[in-house]
Amino acid sequence: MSLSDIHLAVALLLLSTMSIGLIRVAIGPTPSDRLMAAQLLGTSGIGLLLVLIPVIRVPALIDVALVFSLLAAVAIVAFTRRREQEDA
Amino acid sequence: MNPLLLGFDILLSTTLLGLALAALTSREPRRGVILFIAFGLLLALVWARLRAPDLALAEAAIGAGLAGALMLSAARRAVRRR
Repeated sequence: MSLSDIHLAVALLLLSTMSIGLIRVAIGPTPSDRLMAAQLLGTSGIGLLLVLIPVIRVPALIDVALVFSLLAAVAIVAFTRRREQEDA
Repeated sequence: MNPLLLGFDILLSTTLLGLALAALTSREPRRGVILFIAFGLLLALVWARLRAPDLALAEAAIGAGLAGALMLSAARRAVRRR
């Protein structure tokens, strides 16, 4: 078992936890639960991308991981703005 | 082909298809938008897997990030107007 196989196994594990986390996005009782699950998905997506880099040998994917982490903040800001206006 | 890689691809594509179906068939606007954000995330992963980092970058920034934020505020207005 080579090193890239180990990376690939870790990526597969991360992807399966992502697809299990999707259940919470789909059934989550409140919108906050759904968005928190989506954020968790984004975080595991960052880990998945970083593990995938040595497997498929595309170093530019590290920039994609950077944009993933940037995007999470934008979604949170858009979501919490809604809650604030709803309360007021 | 590496069986692990094949399993990875199959899991990725089935998850993406299921997510697209769930986003399309959801009745509540906010649920649909959050599912769409998750869909954009996974689509960016698919582009990364296909060795297209530029497309993955654009999908993550525009498809899931900007469009997701805009659609969240649009869904808010739709709920308030109803």
